[in-house]
Amino acid sequence: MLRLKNVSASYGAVSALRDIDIEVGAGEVVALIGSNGAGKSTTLRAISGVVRATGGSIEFQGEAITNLSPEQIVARGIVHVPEGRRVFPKLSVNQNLTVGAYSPRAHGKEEATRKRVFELFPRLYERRRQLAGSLSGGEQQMLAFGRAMMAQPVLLMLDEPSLGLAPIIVEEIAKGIEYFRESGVTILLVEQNAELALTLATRGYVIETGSIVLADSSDSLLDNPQVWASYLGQQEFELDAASQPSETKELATP
Amino acid sequence: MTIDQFVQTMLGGLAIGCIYSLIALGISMIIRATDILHFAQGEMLMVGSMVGLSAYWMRDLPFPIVLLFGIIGGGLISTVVELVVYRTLRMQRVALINIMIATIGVSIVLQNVARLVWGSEPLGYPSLFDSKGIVVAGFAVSPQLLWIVILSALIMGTLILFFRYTRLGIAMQAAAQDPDVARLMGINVDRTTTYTFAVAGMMAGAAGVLLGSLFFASFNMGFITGIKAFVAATLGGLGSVAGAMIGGLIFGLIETFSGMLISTAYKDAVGMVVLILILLLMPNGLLTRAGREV
Repeated sequence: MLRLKNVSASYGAVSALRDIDIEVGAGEVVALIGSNGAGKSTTLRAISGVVRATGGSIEFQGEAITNLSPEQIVARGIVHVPEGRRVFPKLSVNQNLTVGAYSPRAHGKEEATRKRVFELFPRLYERRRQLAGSLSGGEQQMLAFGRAMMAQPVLLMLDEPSLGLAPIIVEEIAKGIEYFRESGVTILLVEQNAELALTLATRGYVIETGSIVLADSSDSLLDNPQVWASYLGQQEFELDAASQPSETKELATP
Repeated sequence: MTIDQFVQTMLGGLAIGCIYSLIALGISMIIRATDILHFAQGEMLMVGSMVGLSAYWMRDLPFPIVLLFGIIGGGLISTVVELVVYRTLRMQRVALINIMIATIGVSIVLQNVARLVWGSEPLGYPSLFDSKGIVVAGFAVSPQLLWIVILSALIMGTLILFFRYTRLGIAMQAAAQDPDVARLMGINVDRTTTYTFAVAGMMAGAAGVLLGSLFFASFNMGFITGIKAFVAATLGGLGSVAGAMIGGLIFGLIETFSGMLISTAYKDAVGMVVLILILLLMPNGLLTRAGREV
């Protein structure tokens, strides 16, 4: 469904992607993992047309979309949820959803989808008249999901949906991703939280300094000692570090 | 000052304040969408006023149609300037501060073109309203001032409904708040920016006809009015749409009352002194805007 062939991109003189090859089949959930600055977000931005690819080709449903504008790409059903939620702070929840359905392909189903968004996230219904900027981080993430639902995606690209959110909200994210998978939407998921990403996805790509270094099924990547050392082990270490203060607390109480 | 005088002055202040509000609204919308201070906004008012008057000359049109011509004239000239000058400059990635200087250039060019077309003499507007006072709640008021307030309120009300409920209006706000994400939603941000200039020009064009009907039309009528509208927009908090409306009304009232109580010769100075005082007390104006950052 989506095929990137030798795609390169750069910001000015700084090259950000070098000859990337990625393939995503219809209905698949694919993860793109890597450390900060490896080129994960740039890959998504190249697909959605915000960043121009300087080389290679991007194909969607058999057609080249390499040089199309973001509006044209959205009109084909590729919806990109950017990092950090980025809801429109001075618009109400309802208005944010309206913006999500801006593309002509989404007009017909606008009201029906709005109802489903509110069914899935009742919290948003309660706050539908509030300004999005006044919502909590988790609610904003729900709104970002709802806004993406309004756009009627065929391919959904999520950039770091779990970033900066409490573990309990991460469950809401899994709920949102589940909704899209059940409705047959193909998902390309970018995550620094590699364990979460590989649990949700069936296949994964590992990106390092602008190049794909590994591509395998999620299970094999989770077992891969190299991946473990670079992206999963570190998280384990952080967890250990975080748990230490509580241990000392326990020791302090007699 | 008698109660009757007070009511008259109040209405006069509100009427002129509404005109400032209409221009200030456009200034605020353009700041939100492009971060540009549009110094040629007063000239959109002048062109609207001239186009409305010319339409009246050709056929003896009723006032609402003259107003419509003014709105169309202001909207068209604003759109053309945006497409030909500002968009081209933005595409060339010219620094914002330089684009702002270009807006001053546009202002001067438009004034000179208008002088060529319509001459340098002030042009009297026909009396489009009944000049005989009508009695409202025991006070004799000028129907002209009353109409200006009513029509301005209608226009601003329509604008609020447009921004709150229509898909395009909401998209224009989204594009102003976060252009990058707006593009990801399928919004053509270049196009919504042009629409913003069009709507801002329409507001100013309407203000031009209303102001002309109060005094007269002339090629340089937009200059001082535009500056006062800037003051009004700053008073309310630059970039805030509600602030622009309130700022315009307050500035109109201050100006009219100081003209009445002190001297018409100093009313401009008094308005500016009040602006400086308000900025000293509230550095961001009465209603602040949070800016683009989330």
